[in-house]
Amino acid sequence: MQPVYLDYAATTPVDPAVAANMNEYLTAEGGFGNPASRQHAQGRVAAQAVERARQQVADALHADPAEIIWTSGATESNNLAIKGVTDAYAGQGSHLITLKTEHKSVVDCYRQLEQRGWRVTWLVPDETGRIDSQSVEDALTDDTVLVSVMAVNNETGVVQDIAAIGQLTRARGVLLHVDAAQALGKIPLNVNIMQADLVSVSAHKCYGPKGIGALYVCRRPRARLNAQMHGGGHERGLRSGTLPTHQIVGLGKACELALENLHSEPGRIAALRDRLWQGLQSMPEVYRNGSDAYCAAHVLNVSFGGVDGEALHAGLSQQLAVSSGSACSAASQESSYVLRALGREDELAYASIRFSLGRWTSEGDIDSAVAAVAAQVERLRALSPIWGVA
Amino acid sequence: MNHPDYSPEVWRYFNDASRVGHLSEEAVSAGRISVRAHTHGSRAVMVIRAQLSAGRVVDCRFQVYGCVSAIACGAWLAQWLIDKGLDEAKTLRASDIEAALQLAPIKRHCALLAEDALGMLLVEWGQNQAADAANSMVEATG
Repeated sequence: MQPVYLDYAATTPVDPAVAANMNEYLTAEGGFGNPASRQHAQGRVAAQAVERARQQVADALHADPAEIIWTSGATESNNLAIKGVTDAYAGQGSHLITLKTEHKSVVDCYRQLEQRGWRVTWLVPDETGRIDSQSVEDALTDDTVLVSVMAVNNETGVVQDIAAIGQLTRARGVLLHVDAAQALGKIPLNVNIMQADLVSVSAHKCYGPKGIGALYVCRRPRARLNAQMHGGGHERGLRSGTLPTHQIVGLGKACELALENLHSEPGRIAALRDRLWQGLQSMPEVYRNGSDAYCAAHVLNVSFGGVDGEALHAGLSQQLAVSSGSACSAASQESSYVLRALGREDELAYASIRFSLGRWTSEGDIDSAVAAVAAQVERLRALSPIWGVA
Repeated sequence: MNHPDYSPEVWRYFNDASRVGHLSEEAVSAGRISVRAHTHGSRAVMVIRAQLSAGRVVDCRFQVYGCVSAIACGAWLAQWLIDKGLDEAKTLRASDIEAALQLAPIKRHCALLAEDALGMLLVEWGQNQAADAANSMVEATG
């Protein structure tokens, strides 16, 4: 029997409607052509599909299709945004701002830029994971070029007030980059309200296929960035490489569904998330990581006192598919840097579970998860010579 | 069912609850030490409790706070000690535990923790024997 899947923030299954749409652009009977080969019918069919998808992605962000650049996913989008902007604006400033709790693909870009001589202000959120826009304002200088803040944190689900930050950066002429990989289809995303200049999205976090993402690049005011991938000059020279039509169609369809479901899906999932949290609270010493008030519906991050994190995850692995912190750093045995930045002590940060719910999560899944976690925590605490010892 | 991250032996003992907990009577508390293993910043604590009769272990229980391998080492040691006399128990080394459980090299500290716990148990056992207790209980914490 398959474990109950509560790891939708790591990746989602492809929606059957998305898969069906993608399948139309793979075989000889379908639109397999190279979208760059507009001189023949096969190429034109593919190109039309790519442009339709560009419109679908733009609609999900309330953007113009001309502002959408295809990438291989959010990691590449983040790299293109951060490195592309700092390349383009080198000499016009030397200061950057981001959060300690950003995704690794943002954190590592900024670390690399530090090594190249850029000065980075690493903002620390409060214990709920939120950043006060005042702290962004305080960090802005005349030398600041770029600010990166993620819309929804991948480990805690905490939602940042991007619009408040965007108001500050736009007024100062500083570019704002938003990693929205966990936000697409989970919260409303409007680039005009956020006043964001660059927005990264990924298909596979939103019932689309792996290996495709997009970067929104604002045209008014124009955000300049230098290409990081050179070759055939695709995507207006910003990202060379043959466009994967079926993947792009998949992202477009996933965005269309995300927009359609935005008014009903988050509410249903939030109710399940609350049921999960209520069930887990029947145990002593369980702690929610992040914010109750500002949390995307699909994520619940909980630490369990009195148990070892590795033993907890191993013990649950045959019943539950969940993550310990970020799936991207699961190979390392370190506790989550995100939870540590929120002030969680090391053992509690390590003994944490990120539950993430999705389109096919049911009440039965939640009740099974609560029962499995309770049984495992109880077993490990009974095993422990220090549980309950003052 | 096995787990891809652990040897079958580690996984089996991690899930074996047959010797978890306390002895039926109140154990003698002696030689308590607490070893802090420096893995991902968390502690690993092991308690071994043994019931002796005529110089041999007739019952043995364990408790562990720690990772999967630490729990498996405690469970394995509690099982291994059954029916052992003092001289035989003295021969066990961490390397024997590593081999028996096919521990990953990165988890060697778990076997050392078990060896430490056994060492404390043996000290208590020796003192106990000297006091000529025919039926007694010893406990050690590693």
